[in-house]
Amino acid sequence: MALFLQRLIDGIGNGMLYGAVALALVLIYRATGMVNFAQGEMAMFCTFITWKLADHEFGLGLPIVAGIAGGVIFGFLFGAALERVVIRPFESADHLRQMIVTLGLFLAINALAAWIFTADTQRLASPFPSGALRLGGVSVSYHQLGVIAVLLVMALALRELFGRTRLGLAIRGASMNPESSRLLGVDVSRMLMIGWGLSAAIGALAGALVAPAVFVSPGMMQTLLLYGFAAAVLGGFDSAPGALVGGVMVGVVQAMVSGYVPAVGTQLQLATAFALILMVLLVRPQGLFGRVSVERV
Amino acid sequence: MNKNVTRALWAGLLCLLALAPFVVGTVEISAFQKVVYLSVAVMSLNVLTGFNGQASIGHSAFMGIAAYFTALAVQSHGWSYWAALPASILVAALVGALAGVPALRIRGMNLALVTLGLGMVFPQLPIRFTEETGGTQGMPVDEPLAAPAFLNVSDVAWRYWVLLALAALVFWLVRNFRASRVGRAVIAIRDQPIAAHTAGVNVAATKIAVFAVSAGMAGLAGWMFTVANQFVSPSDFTVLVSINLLLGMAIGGSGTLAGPVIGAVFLHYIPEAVNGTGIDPVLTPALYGLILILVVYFLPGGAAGGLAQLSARFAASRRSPDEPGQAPPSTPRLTSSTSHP
Amino acid sequence: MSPVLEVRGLTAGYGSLTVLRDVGLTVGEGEIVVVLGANGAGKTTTLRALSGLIPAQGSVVLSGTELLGRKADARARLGLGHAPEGRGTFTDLTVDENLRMGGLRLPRNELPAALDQAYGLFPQLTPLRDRAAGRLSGGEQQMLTVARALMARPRLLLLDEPSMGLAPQITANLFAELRRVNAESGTAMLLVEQNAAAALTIAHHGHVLESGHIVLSGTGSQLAGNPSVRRAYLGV
Repeated sequence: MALFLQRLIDGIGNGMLYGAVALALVLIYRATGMVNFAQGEMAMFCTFITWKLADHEFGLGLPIVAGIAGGVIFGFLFGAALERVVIRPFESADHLRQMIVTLGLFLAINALAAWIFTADTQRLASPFPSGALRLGGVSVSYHQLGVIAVLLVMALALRELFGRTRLGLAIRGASMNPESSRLLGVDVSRMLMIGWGLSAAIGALAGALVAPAVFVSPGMMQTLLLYGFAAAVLGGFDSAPGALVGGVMVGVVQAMVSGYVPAVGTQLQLATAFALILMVLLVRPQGLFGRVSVERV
Repeated sequence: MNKNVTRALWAGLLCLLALAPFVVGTVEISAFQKVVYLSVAVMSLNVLTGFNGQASIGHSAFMGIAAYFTALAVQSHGWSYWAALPASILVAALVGALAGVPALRIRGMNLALVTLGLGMVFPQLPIRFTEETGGTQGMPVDEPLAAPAFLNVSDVAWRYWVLLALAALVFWLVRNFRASRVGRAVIAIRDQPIAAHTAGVNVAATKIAVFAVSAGMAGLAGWMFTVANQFVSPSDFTVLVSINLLLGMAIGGSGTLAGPVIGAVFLHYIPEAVNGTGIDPVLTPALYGLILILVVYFLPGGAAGGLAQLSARFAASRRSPDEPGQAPPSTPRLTSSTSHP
Repeated sequence: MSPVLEVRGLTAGYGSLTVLRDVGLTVGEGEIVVVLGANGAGKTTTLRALSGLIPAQGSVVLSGTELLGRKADARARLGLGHAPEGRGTFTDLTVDENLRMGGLRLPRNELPAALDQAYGLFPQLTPLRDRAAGRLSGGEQQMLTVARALMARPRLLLLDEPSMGLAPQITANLFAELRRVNAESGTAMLLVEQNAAAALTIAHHGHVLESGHIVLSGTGSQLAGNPSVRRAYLGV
């Protein structure tokens, strides 16, 4: 029983991170209708920035919280700049071309990170105290608790942004009906830019929170990206709360399957994400929380 | 370009390539082998994009499935390469069809996600079954595809000819299929899915069939990989390989026969050329990414499309104005009209 | 007094197809001007060219500022409102959110009053405020786009066939409301219509557009009395 609970909690902790990656993917999808395959690499690059700011040996040695803040701010600017320079020329291109462009970004960012920073694996400290909370036979690390808390706050903040503020409303409107938005004075291109910036900032936060566990390296986000996709597909790809819940579900399924199915074990954990994507697409293609859009009757 | 001229060019190229073992050394022939199986792999993507208007990030997995199948069959189970050839293609095609079923529902972007998943999961499989496959260390295949004794040629030359002949066969089949009635119908489905649907064509089944054929072709490239290298490892079939194949397709131009050849030549020789310039090889993928984006922006028809446009313009300028000429061929472009999320 | 809108030599189209040729018209301060025309005469094209959704040549001056060469959103910020025809709503946003989109640039403290005003204009929308706009009827969506465009308090409101899809009684109400808004706030309006009978009752001036040219101009009552207009657009 204790083992089961432990796995459940580990699954939830990992799942929140998958949810954060999914949230970043969903944000860009909702703002621009694009699926961004470079999302993970952008987050990785920002995590290197955080590492550079915070590392005592190779970087500036700032407090880790300052490093993370720097990485997130950099992420926003980075995402906005990528949208302006690389993505905007393809704003009205078809999905195939948009996909290939984000794959091009994937290659470029990955190699640039290895060249600018290092191809080696680096450590990043957790912003939370080490140690764990023990409840019976189950231990929950403070890092896990902190991750869950930070991401919940972020999700609430995003809900507030999109549900209550003018900026959030304008971003939603611009993605839904660009032409009508322009007629109401909304600078649609700027909204897309902000959407990319926000998305990259969320990715940067996810990267910094996952780094203490998986370390910082150019490949750190690649498997996480697939888990993020699985979470997004599960959540319906256009639903922000769905992305987080989907992430938690992916994390729990992964922890349970790899814990209780010996054939899967640790090496094939990634296959559970893949299997989830396949299953959701077969059974409920709109995801668990996505609704069939009104326009698409 | 004039049809006969094109045909003569292809025949001439094939002859030249076939004579290569008499002229150049083993090292070059090995490189040529790689270009040949890369062209088949790029061609398999080309078929998917050209006929379905879709792209896959998982073709490395189909290659890998067939390559590992062949390696295991020959090394561990005593099959001959020739017996493994149809079997490995079939296995890849079957996995392709299975993956295509959920992927083709509702949103076109889903295919990209499913193929990404395939591409990422596949390299984990040999690691999971390390005892059988050698895991990350890879797996050598001791037995070569040997030349028949009566021919009295080297094994390397023989393997190269086998690969070249199979590749030529694949290209010839694709060309004929594209010109056939069925081929045109499939292209019509890509361009007008709703019209095709109302005309009673089973759009989903056709797309899955195209996907299976494309996966099978990638499987052939995988068989070729094992024949050429006698070694397979997980790192030969990562998602990055798939992205490189997409790059090859974009560079060469989707929807053309020359495109995959140009793309494969690019994929093999550019890294060497980059190394020669003294740029840090770590940056080669960054260069690839940059080229990919620039090509999609400036040259959506790829190099072959650009060449076709140029030659059409050249032909048009040489034609006297009163002579009724053919309209310049429409350039196949890297576009999809069907993949809406 | 200088006009709110002065259009000279407006030429526009789609790609190589020219739809409008050398169109000229003016809308004075506080005026309602109607452009009548059959389907395909270029009515919608005129409005799209004015608000910057398609490129155009000529000159379009809004209260002394040349609009051509500016992007659509910049023109909107200069005080040009545009209620597009048909599916111009944000289908997945609620009615309330659609109206708030219209009021994005209002000072925060004026938003509640503007919303009240919009619901006062179309009381039918009040019970629907939390419904997704895509689930409204065609007529309700039409009202929503008009109300949304008015939220921004434009100097000049372009209206694209506001009567389209509305029952005659509702059309009559809508036009009466437009007239009232115009009288109370002085918002100038340029509307394009097929429904000449309703439009001419509120128009100060009118033009008839045929095949991309303006073929007839006059005051509302002049046009209503013109035999060819009566024949072609009033069915008498």
